[in-house]
Amino acid sequence: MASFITRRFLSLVPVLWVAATLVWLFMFVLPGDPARLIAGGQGLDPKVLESIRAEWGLDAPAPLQYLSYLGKLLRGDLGTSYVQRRPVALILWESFPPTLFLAVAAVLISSAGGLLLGALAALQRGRGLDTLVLFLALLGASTPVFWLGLMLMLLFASHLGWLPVLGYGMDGAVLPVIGIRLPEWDHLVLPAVTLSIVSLGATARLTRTSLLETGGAAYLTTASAKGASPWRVFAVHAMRNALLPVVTVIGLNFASLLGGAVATEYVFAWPGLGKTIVRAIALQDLPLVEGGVLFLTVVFVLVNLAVDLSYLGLDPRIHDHALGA
Amino acid sequence: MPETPPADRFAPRPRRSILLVVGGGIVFLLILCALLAPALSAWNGLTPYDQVAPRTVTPPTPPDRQNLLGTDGLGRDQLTRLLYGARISLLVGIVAEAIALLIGTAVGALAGYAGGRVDAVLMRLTDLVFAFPGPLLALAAIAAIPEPDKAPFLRLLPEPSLGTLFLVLGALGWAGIARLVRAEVLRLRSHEFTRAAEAIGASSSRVVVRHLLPNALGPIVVAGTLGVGGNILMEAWLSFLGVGARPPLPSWGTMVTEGQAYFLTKPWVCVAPGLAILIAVLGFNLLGDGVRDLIGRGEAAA
Amino acid sequence: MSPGARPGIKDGGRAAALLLAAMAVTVFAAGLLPIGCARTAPGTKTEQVFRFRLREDPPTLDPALSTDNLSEAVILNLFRGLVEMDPETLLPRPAVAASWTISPDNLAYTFRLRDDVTFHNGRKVTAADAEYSFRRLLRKETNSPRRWILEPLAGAAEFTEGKSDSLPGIQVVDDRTVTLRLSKPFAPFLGLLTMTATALLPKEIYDDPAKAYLRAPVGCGPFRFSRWEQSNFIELLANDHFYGGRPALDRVVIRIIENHQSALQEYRAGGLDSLDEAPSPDTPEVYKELEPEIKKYPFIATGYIGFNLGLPPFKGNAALRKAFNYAVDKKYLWEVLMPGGDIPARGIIPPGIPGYDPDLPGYPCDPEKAKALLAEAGYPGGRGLPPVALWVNTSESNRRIAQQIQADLKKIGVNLAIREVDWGAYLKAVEGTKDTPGEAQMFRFAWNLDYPDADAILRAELHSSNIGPQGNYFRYKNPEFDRLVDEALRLTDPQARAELYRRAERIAVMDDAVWLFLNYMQSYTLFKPYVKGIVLTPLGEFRIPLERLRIEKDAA
Repeated sequence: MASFITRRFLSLVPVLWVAATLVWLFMFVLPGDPARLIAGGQGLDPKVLESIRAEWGLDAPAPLQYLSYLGKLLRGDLGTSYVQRRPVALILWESFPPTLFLAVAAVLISSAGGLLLGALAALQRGRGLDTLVLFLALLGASTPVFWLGLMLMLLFASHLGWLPVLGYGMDGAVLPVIGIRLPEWDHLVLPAVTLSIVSLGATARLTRTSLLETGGAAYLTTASAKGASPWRVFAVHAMRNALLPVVTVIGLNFASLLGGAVATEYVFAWPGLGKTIVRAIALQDLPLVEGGVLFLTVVFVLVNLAVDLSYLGLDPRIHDHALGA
Repeated sequence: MPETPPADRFAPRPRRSILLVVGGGIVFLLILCALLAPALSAWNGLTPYDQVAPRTVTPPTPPDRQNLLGTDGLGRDQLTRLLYGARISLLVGIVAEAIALLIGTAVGALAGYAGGRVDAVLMRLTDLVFAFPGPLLALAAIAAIPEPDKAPFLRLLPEPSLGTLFLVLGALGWAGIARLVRAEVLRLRSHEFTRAAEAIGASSSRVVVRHLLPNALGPIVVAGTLGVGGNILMEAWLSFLGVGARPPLPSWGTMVTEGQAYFLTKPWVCVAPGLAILIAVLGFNLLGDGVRDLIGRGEAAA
Repeated sequence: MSPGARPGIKDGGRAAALLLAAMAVTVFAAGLLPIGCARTAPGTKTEQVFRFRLREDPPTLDPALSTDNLSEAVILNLFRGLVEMDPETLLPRPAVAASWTISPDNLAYTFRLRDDVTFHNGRKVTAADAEYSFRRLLRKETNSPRRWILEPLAGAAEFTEGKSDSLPGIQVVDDRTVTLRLSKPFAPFLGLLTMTATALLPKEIYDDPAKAYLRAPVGCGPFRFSRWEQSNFIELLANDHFYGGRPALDRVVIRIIENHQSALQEYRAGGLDSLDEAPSPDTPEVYKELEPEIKKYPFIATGYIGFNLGLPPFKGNAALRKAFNYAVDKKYLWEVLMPGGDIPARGIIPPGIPGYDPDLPGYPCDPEKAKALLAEAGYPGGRGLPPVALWVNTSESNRRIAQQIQADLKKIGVNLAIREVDWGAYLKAVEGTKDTPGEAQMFRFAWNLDYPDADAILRAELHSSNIGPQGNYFRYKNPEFDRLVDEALRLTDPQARAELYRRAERIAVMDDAVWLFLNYMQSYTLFKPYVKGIVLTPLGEFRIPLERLRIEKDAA
């Protein structure tokens, strides 16, 4: 187990190097003058631009810039944002929690909903309800997140007034010690529901499949035939089979979850990682884009590691396979 | 993004074929709309660029007999724009997916067949592309081609901004296909017909092209169909942000952005293009899903 | 998962209870995220909070580095300079300096400071702080894009280039007196000193090599900085010791909301007390609902499409530029398509600025005239015209305006492409360099006057000495125009200056048609009815003095 984890971490190093290099190359060839960006504005004195280039090391030849970038990375220095002029690591550390809360809430909602729908579909296998669940699952995956978010906001917040429009931690609590700001729960609802649509369908389908696969299907039918209430049947079997599909979907869909978070954060002005990186791309804030990409890569690898490990815990049958991979 | 869960062995087949028919129907209609857009809008003789609202009234104007879905913020016929929008969605979706299939198949087949170090390197690259959230990568990639009118090849296209979308979405969509093709190649390689072909001295490229790929075609078609839906969604999102199809092209994503200001009072301007995106993507997802079931059944029968 | 792998799972009743518990936790976990948070509804107590929106995080809160209105919206409330601009009359008025005298030769400005001004850290403001702040602005290492404000000071160039450490242009006479000496007379100098870049800064904070001040600015303005939650909000608190009296507002919250529609909905829902972009009457019901809350007032800025005179087809072809001007229906654009906002423009100098010319004919829409001029320009019916692209930076309204112009030009036979790009790429294509034109042939731009003087647009944008990134992106060069603008700067009589500016404007508009003249801008801001004490100012919505605002919810 320990060696498995070590191996996974070691394999992270070349991945990170490739990612770092690709991103650096990518941003390097982008048109646009970083010096102008740092100075921020129009009508600039060429002398000002020159001294900025010198100060930020932008006048060095490309290979040197690359090496100094890598060297800083090795020392754990992600650089300084051109636009915000503060450490990239700090900016990422600030904008990660909102995305995390959003993603966790969305996963909770899609898991609860997905389990319910999946179990219902399994229970009603081959019947209308099953088809409907499948259809809804596909519908969820087909909905443009940005549009859905807008529609939900306009309907539930603006029109009906049931929920707040947007906002994050304006008067909310702050976690002690680490100083992470928490969102208000009512502000979290609409963005989280919007984002949950991304993985709701997948969870429902996997739940259904895994329920039927485990051979519990026959038991389900028997149980229903014996007159057990659907709720009870669902509770018994969904509980047991729930975690695996949920965990799988988190692993499989992590990238699309974050992708959906980008759209959600844009519409709901959620101060998260997606919004931060999108702005950084638009402003060509190279250090922040580079740092953000690396950070996401690490998070992705860690999430998948956690998923693999939880497989080990959840299902002994996977053990050998995972260790062999 | 459409998720691609493993093939569902417990599919309620009779019902599912209904979904397949629905999906196929939607896609067929979509293609029809795209091909026949000029003919379909001939009844009121409008192009997506004509400003038909009277010059004294602030558009959008509400639906009437001339403009069945009303007009948009510049007084252009909404229905006509939606019809022509199908062309953009389909074009971007299909061309980008074709590029993705080309790259993905090549990478996957190479990795699967060559194995060893080549395989390891290619799959790491694939993991990387797969790992990173598509919308962010797409934004970054589009930032890298800010001037398609100047870019080689792209500038030869009648609409270079669509060329950017082809390339970017194509370059991002191949990872899943590469994985799939590699897995299929690995699986089929162990089959007897491959061994037999190799035994009689067929070259490796010949084995891949003549034997392995045709056998992997089914899953590729499924992934490709689902991919078209994903591309349509992504095109809409990028155009929504204003970095996709260039105005005045009637991209559905652009139409959502332009229409959002009117939601509470003139909802048709924003709701209609949103629904169009949803239905189109749903169509491809249903179709892809349905085809997967069909293939699954075929294999079970064999 | 193998059946029966978990003990106790066969006990259906317990499992069900467990599941329900789990689901309950799921639901309530979402519900209870802010543990023990007590949210006080704003305004229920006596606390006065004012919340407004910015599209993006301000790029910087360092007065010397800021060039944009988002940064200024915050900086203006944190800092003060020697003088400030009266938001209504647009004339310089005392701020930290209680009074000033100008020598008869118009070279020496002597300021007498108040003695009751303290920085937010409690230290008293003295004349040495003015010297420090001005030297900092000029210093090469500061890299201030607004260094030019103080370039008229004697010895400024030598100081900036590091040739000399002394700056004869600034003399601290005593603790409360400072004299600024110019190398030659410069009429708008006092107006320049009202710009936020010349704010007074405490040395002990701004000499920090770690630059902590970038995230914790300290000034002597009516509000002090509290916190900045990146891409979420910025919070300011009342400065109890403000020399002009403590503001009525206890707290100012500046919320960052990019999507305009989202922000509008948040305003309607009561999460904002003011919003910088009001809905226009093209959404009648929202407009009707909010109309009483919309404040509309002139903004000293002009919108236009710039022609690149360094590139074909506009190079040396005034007839073509005039044809474009006549083809576009400015009245339809601003009165029907986007009504209630800006005013169709006839020229360059916006209303409210001395030199504004109410009799300037401009180019009212006339497609026939446009077609005739197009033929005169050598492209009858648009034939033979090389591809022309209109560049805009990404924004909803830009896109709409660009498409309308595209449609209008189509009617005279011109096929216009639209290039929508990010601000960074946009500026690069527009600005060019001193010697080479940028690649944008036509581009939509708006120029917001840095100080309320025609010089701030005619010289900054069209004088041949400013060709390139300095502001004359159009590469306009007309010796007679240059001469008039230069002469106006040497005069002090306002009437005579205005007359020279009117003559210069006529040359650029009627003879040379250097731009496609679009709109004189208007500010267009929403305020909740309980917000009182609003001073509407032509300087723009973000320059409304917050220290004068108060919230009167209970009275309403």
